[in-house]
Amino acid sequence: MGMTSFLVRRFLTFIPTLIGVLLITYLIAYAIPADPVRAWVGEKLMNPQTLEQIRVKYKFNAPWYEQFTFLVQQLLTGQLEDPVRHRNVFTEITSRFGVTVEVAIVGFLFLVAIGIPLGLLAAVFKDTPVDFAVRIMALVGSSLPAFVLYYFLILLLFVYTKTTYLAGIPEPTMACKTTISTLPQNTPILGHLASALGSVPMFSAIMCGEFNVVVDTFKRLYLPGLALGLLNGGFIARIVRNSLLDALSAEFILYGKARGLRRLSVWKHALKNAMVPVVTVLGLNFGGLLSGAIIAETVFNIPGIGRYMYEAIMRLNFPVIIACTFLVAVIYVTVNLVVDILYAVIDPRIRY
Amino acid sequence: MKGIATRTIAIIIAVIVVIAVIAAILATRPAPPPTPTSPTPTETTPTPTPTSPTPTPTTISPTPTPTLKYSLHETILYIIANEEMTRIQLYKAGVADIATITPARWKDLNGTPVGNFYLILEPVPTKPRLTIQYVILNTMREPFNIVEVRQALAWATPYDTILTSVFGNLYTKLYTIVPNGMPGYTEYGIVKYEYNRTKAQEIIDKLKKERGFDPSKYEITIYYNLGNTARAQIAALLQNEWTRLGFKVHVEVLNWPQFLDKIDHFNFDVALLGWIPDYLDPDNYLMPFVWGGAEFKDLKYWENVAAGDVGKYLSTVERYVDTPNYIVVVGPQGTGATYTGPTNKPLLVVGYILDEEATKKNWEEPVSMVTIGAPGWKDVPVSALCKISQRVLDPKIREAIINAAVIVFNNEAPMIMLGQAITGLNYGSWVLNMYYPLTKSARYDLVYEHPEAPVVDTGVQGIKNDPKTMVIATIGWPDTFDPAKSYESFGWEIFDQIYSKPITYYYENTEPEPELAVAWAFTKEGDELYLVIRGGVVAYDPWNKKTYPIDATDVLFSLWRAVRLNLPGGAQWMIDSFIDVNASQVLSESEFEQVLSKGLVAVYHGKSVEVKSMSELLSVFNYAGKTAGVVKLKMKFPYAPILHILTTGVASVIPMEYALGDKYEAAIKESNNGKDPSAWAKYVIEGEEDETHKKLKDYPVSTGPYYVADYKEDAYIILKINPYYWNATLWEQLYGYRPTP
Repeated sequence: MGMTSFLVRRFLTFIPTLIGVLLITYLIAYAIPADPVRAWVGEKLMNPQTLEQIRVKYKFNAPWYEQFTFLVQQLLTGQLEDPVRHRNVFTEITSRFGVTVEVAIVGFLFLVAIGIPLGLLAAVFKDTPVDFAVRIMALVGSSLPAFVLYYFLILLLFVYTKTTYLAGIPEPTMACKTTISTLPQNTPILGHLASALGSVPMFSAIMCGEFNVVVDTFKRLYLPGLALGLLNGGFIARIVRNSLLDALSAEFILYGKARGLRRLSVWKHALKNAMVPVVTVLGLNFGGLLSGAIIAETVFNIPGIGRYMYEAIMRLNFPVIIACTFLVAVIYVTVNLVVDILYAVIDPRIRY
Repeated sequence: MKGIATRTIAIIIAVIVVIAVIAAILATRPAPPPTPTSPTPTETTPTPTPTSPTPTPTTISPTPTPTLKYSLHETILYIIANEEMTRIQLYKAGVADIATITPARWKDLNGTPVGNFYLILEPVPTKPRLTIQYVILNTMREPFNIVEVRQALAWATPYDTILTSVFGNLYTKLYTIVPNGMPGYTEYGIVKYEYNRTKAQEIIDKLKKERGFDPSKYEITIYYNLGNTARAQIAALLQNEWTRLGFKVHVEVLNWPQFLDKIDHFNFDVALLGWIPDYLDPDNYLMPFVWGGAEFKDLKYWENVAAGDVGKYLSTVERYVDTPNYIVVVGPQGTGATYTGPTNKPLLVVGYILDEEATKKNWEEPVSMVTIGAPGWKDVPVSALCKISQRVLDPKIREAIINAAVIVFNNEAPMIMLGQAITGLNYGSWVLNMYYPLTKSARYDLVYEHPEAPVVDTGVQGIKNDPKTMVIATIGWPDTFDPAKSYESFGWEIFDQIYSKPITYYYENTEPEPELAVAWAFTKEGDELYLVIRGGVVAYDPWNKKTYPIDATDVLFSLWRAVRLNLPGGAQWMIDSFIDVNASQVLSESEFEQVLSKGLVAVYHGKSVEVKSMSELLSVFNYAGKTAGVVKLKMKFPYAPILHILTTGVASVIPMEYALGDKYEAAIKESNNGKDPSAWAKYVIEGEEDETHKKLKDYPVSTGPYYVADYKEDAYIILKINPYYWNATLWEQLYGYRPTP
């Protein structure tokens, strides 16, 4: 089977997956015995007729399947409205997703920079104090409540050393934003691509050559990035260590050594084989970061998609819950697809 | 070699861990006590000077120490940080001048040093606020329909523990629904419920003996909302105490939507809640809580009635209440009633004709605070007091009626009052002249900072928090920037900075003062209110760098538009319930002179003065400047608190020309210059699709001291000083600051 048919098959599986995820999420939210409309309008006095108008608008008087169909229809036609903020949900998501992408990128860089070298070290110095230290770090990272590490880092790097900020997100100049937003008019395909990338402030800044914004972005986001990297880096290190040790003890390595391959060549072959599970875990981690690190966004005061989702859940904001679930599901299936493709790149034995 | 490398790396890791542990210990060490070196505490205690921010102030001096030069806050930055610990870090680092902090943490943070200054988070017990905390008993359910049970529960509530341990002394004792500081507050004739379990037990025992009441057959559930730790503690305390009386008490926590749903539809036994009034009038407590859902075809009162004459006005006496100045007697209108109560004070007789159909409708599908008060207490005579109090203009009579309702409500305890908030100082000690109005927010152009205040990078748009910048770390996000829609405290705080209203309050005073209306007067019947509009005011549109002149048409349009849009969740009811906006109109000064010639009543600073000319009216308000027309507001019924409503966010004045754009001229023409506002309906549609709403919700303009310069949702809002502010001369007098448009 070729790559094309593999991709077609995978894309076809996306449809039931996405519908299933949306349906399950909707039914869970629907099962909660509360009046979402009342939560949307707040706690103040409210005319019952007005509440009824909103219920009718969002089909809360209709059976659940009609509500669900209505929401999905609105979602697919891009007309879904956030009933709390009274704006198109996609506009709201776009304005937040760019920031989440930035956090995900910085976090991922730290994750890789911390996890992979430590994993390699642990494998190289197997059963030594280094190995123990890395394993303890992985254990601590997995079991430490995230907020404890976050607040410790804030105290250290914000309150005492003042090397970062806890407010605002650096953005390119208005001139740059205008230039990016007009690109689709001039060059339709590339322009749209550039415009989509430009929804991430850091990418806009790079395209406009405003590198000071990129530097400021790192200054603002290195703290959450470091925190996310430290939390998950230990786990990545363990995966790298174990995969590498497995690969090093494989028969083909023994065979290579017996044939007198140089140490570097042995390591090269072992590493390549060890990377398959590592890429899987890194992919899932990146998907998780792209879906919004809710606690990190809240603690580090980042107006990303995670916080938006959290608020939507707290207010039973069905349209936003559905739209965000859809986004997260799309991210995960896409990341999984990319990981599957990467398998073939890393390991030539894997064919589709 | 391998061994050396291993050891070296292990040592490095060990060193890092040790440093981290030491740093963690240092970081979590309690803050050292404050070192009040500079400035001294006397400078930081907010002692607002009750001066008028009008163009002609005479005694304003924000410089208690003449050697120090203070700066106007040219930039206001709201940093949105929904996590409290993050706000605390912003506060400690000097990034924020003010931060929203829950009372439980005040003690820990008070005195935390920030450079040469420190954080001040202190309650001021002598300054009550209007926020109240209470327990609602669903009186539509057993056993809360029994007065004695409610009273027993009120006596079995550990108030002192709640005030000290739960509210951290940021609340004070409260016995009545109308709190201290509000007109109508009284301690006369009320029961001062204290924690007295013996008394509570005696009441229950008496009920057992006389009526066979068995508390053990009642399962009571106390509800509170998820995340509210204070209410969780109160619920636990009540559960403990009330269980001892013999009831089976459960506690259930619900997420906010579920909680609201239960409260709205009376699907609860007991619920813990709080209330902040919308405007400065007791009606804002009576209608949401005390009113029993009864509607009336007619309500009348008679003053100084002889005891023997009560039968001339009422068919029966349903209640009589001893208030400080009157005995208030209530019953259905008719004849034949016999009054046998006290006669040591003048009798104030209130008679009603019940609208049975409307009342039945309210009771059939009760919605809390909409068709009936929150405890569902269906008391018809007290409902009559609530309703008639809205219409009475005579302050003495009104006070007596409100007192009567308050006293009965207290005696019969449909709600258990837990506490009334007190003012809490919360700012860095470098912030000076901070003040706390009761129903509005402080205006940050009247608050200033010590010249040596910390200068810290905020990280937002390159803004530094220096003495010219006010930074507030807070939570949430304004629902919208459109005053016709917004109905929440953050939105209204922004409106207090960016919009002028017809009427305002100065600092912490509660007396209505001129803002865009330089004078006002009622007809003698109270069915019309006239506002004389200030001349020379312009609105600033920062998005297009344009200005628009403001006159009476804009004021009427702003009020009319809020009602016309009728946006879900908006505060338009505050206008629509009392003002017939379509029957209101704009008058020229000469047309108003004709109205004045018949005589109007100017109500200002507690005095009512009959005036018959514009000059007479303006002199009452000590105003001699230009005017820009007159707005006649047609009242649906005489409503004394209307002046207070005109100070709120929903009354914010916006320029009609900005809202309507190129349709402005046509709208003005068709309405005959504001004579027929209903003609504007062609240009403003009901609901969220209206173009004026779409424009104003995201792109607000300014008629106030600041304008919205930039914002990023859920991240920050930046306000800049409005160079076209009508009262900018004030800044020159206060700070020597002259805006450059």
